[in-house]
Amino acid sequence: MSAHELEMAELLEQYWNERESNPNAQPPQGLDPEMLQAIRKMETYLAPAPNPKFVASLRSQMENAAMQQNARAKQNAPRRGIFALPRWSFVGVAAALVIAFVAFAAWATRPASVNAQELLDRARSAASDLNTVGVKSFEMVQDSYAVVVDNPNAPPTRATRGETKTWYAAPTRWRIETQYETTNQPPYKAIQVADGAAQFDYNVNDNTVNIQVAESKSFPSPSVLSLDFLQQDMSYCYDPKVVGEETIAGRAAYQVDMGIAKCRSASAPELNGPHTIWIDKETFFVLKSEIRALNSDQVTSSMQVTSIRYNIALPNDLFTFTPPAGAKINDMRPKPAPSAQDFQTQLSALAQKLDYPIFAPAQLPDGLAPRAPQHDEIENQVMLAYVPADEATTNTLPDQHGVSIIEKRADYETVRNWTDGAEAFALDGAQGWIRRGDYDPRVGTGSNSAAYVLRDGTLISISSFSIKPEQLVEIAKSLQPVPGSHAPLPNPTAPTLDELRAQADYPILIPTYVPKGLTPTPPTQNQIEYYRADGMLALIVQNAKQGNGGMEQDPRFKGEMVKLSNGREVHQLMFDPQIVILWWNQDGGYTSLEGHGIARDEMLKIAASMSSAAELGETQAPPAQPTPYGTLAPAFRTVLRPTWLPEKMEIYERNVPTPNGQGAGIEMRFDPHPDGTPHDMLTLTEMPKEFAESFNDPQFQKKDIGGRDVTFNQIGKGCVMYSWVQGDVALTLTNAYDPPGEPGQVRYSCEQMERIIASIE
Amino acid sequence: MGLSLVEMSSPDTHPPPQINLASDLALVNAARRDPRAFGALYEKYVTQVYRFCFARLRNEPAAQDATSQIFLKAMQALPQFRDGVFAAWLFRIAHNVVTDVFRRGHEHAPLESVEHHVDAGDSPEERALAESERAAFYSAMDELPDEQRTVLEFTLAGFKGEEIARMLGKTHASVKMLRWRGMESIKARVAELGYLSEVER
Repeated sequence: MSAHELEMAELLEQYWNERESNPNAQPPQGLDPEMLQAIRKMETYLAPAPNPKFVASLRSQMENAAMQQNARAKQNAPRRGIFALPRWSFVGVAAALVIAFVAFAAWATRPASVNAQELLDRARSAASDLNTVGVKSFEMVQDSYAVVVDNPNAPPTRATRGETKTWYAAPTRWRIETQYETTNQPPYKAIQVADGAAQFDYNVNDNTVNIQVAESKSFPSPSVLSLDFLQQDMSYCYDPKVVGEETIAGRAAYQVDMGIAKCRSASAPELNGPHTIWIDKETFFVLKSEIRALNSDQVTSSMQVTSIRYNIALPNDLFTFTPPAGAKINDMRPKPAPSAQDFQTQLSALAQKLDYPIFAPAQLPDGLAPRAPQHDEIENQVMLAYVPADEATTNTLPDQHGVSIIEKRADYETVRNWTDGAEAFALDGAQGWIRRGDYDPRVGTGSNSAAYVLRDGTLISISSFSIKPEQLVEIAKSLQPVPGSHAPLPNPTAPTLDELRAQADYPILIPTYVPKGLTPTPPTQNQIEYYRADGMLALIVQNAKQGNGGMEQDPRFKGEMVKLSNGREVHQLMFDPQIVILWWNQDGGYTSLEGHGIARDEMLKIAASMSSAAELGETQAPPAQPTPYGTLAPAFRTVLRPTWLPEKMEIYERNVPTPNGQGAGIEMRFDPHPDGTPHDMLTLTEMPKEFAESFNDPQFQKKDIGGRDVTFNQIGKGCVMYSWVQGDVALTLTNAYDPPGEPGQVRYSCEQMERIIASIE
Repeated sequence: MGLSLVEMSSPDTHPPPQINLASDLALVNAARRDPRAFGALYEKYVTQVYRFCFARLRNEPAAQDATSQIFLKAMQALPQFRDGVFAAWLFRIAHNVVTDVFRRGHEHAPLESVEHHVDAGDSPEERALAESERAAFYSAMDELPDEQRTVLEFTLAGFKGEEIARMLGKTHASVKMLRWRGMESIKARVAELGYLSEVER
């Protein structure tokens, strides 16, 4: 890389970082004007901001989808990570459609002329707030139908039919009863009630009730398939025309032919066909909607209001809800803070109804008070919150200023997921792990810290953004069984390869050859890792069902085809001499191997040795990964630090990956003004010397600084980056571009930078 | 490299400060308890996800469609999210969704369907010129090596260099260099075709 390239790359970084926070940021001096022009055109052509209407519409769809999520999750087959994410289920679409049209209403004046665009404009403008258009109450029944398309290239094989009843009483009470059936799936039924203070979401199928504080909005928002969405698309996706009048559910309605969608949907091609809607002539409700297939007369999606009455008296009991006996209840409303005695009583009562033991801390930082313990019956997990006194009766997130404790019956996958890479710590009669966060209150970024405990069959997470990891460990050590708790249970163990193979409907391939010194981790459903004796990751083996593998779906990962010694052809990708990836499909499965620091020939040998019947041999838990901004993990050498700095600074240290993906690098940041706003900082990175970057360009300057052979670059009067090797360490010191808004200005002079370097020891 | 499945789904214990992981994890935890809390994550990332989709699909409806799918899938899959960089996980899904769109035969929008990007007041000649210029930029982007293109796509989506480095498992310096070289190639390509003739100074 040349000095010019480095300089320009730095200016680009600076420009784009500032543009992100200030779209009108001035370009830094020195940035090539042609480059600047190219960037601006790139941004225009390739990164336009999303249409605000779309953002609002999708937000509403998300809200509706959230209501349906639990039901859909139960109806789908168990999922195994993002490998096996189900396709967008048309059951969900149908439900969203039902809710969408229920939610949509308008009460406006009759248009002076029958213009489709104007009809839709009036309807949409009124739809956002029922109160402002005079709808005080209504009762409505809708039928819906939609085909279910699993494969866009094949005819639909399933359909969903449903009915929704809605009652609304201004300003904040409503009830929605939804039921639908999809071919080969169990019927779905749900009831949602808002009584003005609380909202109840009852999933009849799994008998669960979520309760939360009612939103201030008077009515659930329309979803993406509402008229609002159509309206947004209409200006360029449809050519709406009023083609007639009909009576729907006893109401006079305009029939609007939307035409064929000019903007074809990629995910739901069945919605691309001719679309017709019927709009109430007086109220602008959408009373009927119909989409037909592109190449036939088949209806692919329809909704029709079968009964509707406006501004009627509705009985109060429609807007009350009592959870049925035996329902699982997840009450998310804030509770009053209990006294210490009440807390113990509540906790014991909770412990007695659980099928696993629970624990409470005997030691906590001063000033924290408990909220009422909560049990999420749906997840069957206990949530304890210890917060500052003024937060005890709120439902703010407890781990921001206090401690959040979650306890659940342990299973191996969850234990592995929660504790992967965390450092183990000693704990009498239990297993403990600590994950150090790097939350930075000055800039409001970073991760929380957490201590995890596996004890008597219960997995416990103790997390906080504000309490130091060491204190979390002390809290973990002080955990005591809650009186009345369940008897101890055995801790879960890793499933065997045989068990995983029995569960999977694809082959789980294991290498029968790996280079010496590699030890596998216990297997999970999709992945086995191999580590070297020094804790460095060497090999990742992934197996999945064919079609669900990450690389097989992306034409850019096709790579080069190579033939193994066993005759099998595999895809080979070499992103870096250190990283070789091989992947292929075999017997209905997808397998990938990713080698770190393993030579290509060795990788081919490993690939040729893969077997669906091989045993794994002795396994070992994955080693702890370096944790940030805490005690530095054991590194490759002594850490070097400056003994002189130009001003008083706070210093943050963390381990960072080396270019080969390992965690042996170190980064230090020096912050002179922790004022809570994001700003650049002086940064020193240290890597093993084999990762030293070479700067052979003559524009790069060399200088002896305190006996160090230092290479540096200068932009204007500012010295930006220094690089040198000191002992077995490659160091890079980067000046701070600070404060923002003064592009091209570094904080420290060349003389100050050199003095820092001379002091590093 | 592009987006390695392994890197994007692996746990992260040393996120860069620029990724607001603290808020993300808090929000993720809240959303696990109540899916409605997912709204905050949506608000935070919707623009970046949309821009990422648009940079790949170059078609507003398709980008909107993909954005919808991505967030709905993310909300459904949230229980499977392991503590780590939420943004990386979300963009793994985004990558898969966009790839899936391509796999199903999506083609870039024909010129007539992207007319809305052009100022309606422009003359037919100006519109034609703008479309031709757009096509040149798309073509230049398509010709980039995968690594450079991926870094530029994330940059255009609104991610900072260090965030991209974390998500792609690269050093920050390497991301800066890939971005610079990608932009250099694009600039050279479109300049050669005469689209940067009036340099702003």
